[in-house]
Amino acid sequence: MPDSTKIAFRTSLVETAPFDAEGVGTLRFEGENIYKWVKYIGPNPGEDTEAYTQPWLFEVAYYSGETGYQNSEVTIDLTAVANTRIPAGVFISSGVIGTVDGKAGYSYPNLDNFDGLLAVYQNNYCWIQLRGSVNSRGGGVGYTYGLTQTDGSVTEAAGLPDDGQLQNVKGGTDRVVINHYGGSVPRGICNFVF
Amino acid sequence: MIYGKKHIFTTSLIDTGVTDLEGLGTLRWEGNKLYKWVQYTTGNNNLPAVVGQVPTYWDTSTTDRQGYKNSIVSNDRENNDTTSSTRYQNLLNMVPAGVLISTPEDMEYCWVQLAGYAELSLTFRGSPLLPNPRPQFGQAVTTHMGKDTEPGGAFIGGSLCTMPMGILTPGYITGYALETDLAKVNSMICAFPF
Repeated sequence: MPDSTKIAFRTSLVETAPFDAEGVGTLRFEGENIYKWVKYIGPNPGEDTEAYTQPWLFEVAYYSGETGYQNSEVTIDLTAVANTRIPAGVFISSGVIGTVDGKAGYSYPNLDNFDGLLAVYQNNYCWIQLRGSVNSRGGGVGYTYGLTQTDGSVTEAAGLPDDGQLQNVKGGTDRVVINHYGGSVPRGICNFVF
Repeated sequence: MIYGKKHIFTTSLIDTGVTDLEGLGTLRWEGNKLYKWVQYTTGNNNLPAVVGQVPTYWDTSTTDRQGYKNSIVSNDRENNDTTSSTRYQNLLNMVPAGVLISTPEDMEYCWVQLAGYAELSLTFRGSPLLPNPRPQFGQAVTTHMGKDTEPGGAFIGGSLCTMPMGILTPGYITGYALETDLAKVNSMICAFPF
C-alpha cells in the first residue's frame, strides 16, 4: 500500500493561487525545509488601515480561530477571530506587490528589501514554511526579536500582539517556533507544528 | 543512492500485526499526518490499547530505558501510583509515543499518530500539580502520569493533561489542545517526538 506523500506540485514555492491548486494541508519536503499549502483568510492587503495587519513576506501566519488548524486556514490578524493563537508558519510567497489590483503578480523576493512585499491576497492559497532556515522579520523596526510562544499559558497568549509578531519565550512550556539568529538579513530556524 | 524513506507498506493504518510487518520505528506520512510503527505492551497493570489514548514509551525501569530505542509503548505508567508530591519524580514512562489508532493486543504491532490533527477518547485533565486547571484551546499538553490528581485516585492510563507551569519538572510537550469541552470529543494538534 503506497503512502500519500505528494511529490509532484503545480506551483512553485513563491506562487499563490486563487483556487486550491495543491489541496489544503499538503506538505512539501524540499531538502531540509518543509512547507504547507494553506488558505489565507486574513485581511486583504491594502484594505486594512492598520499597516501591521498585512500579510508581509516572512511574517508569521497564525491558524484562524478554533477550526483554523483542521481547515489549514491562516491569518495575520490575531484579533478578528477568537482563539487565533497557534502559529502556523512563515509566509514565503510574494504574490502581491504594491497596491491591490485584483491579480496576483509573481516575483521572487528581493532579500535586500522585502519590507514592501506582500505575500498573498485574502482567500487565496499559498505555501508557508514550517521547518528549516528562513528569513524572518525579527529585529526590524516594529518587530520584536526572536523566539516565541504559542502557549502553555493562556494569560500569555491573551497578551499577544495583534499583528503576528513573535515574542521571546516566556516559560518552559512555550512553543518555540523560530530560533532566531539575527544577521544583516535576519534569519531563523523554524519549527512549526505540521 | 537509495532513497531512505519507506513508501510502500504492507498494512493499513488501522491494521495490527502479531509480527513486525513494517519494521519497528518505521515512519509513514499520509497527507499532513505522520505515523510510527510500534509494539504495544499492556505493561504490568494489564492496560489494554484504546483508540484515541496516548501511550508512552515503555521503560521497564529507570536503569533500563529501552522504550524509545525499541519502539515499544504502553498505556501503563507503572511506578506513578505514589503520592502526588513525588509523582513527577518517578521519571519512568514519561516520553509520549503517539495517539493509538487501533487496538493491538499485548505485544502486537500497530501504528500510532505523531503529527497532525487527532481526536482523543479521553478528555484532557488538569495537571497533577497545583494549580491544575484543564487545558484551554491552544495550550500545550503533556502525558498524564497515570493516577488521578489526588493520592489514591483512580488509574487513568493513556491520558493527557495541562503542562505544569512554573516548576522545574521534566515534561514533554505532546501537542496542543484544540477542543477541550468536557461534553465534546477532545482533539489536539499532535507534536510527538519522531
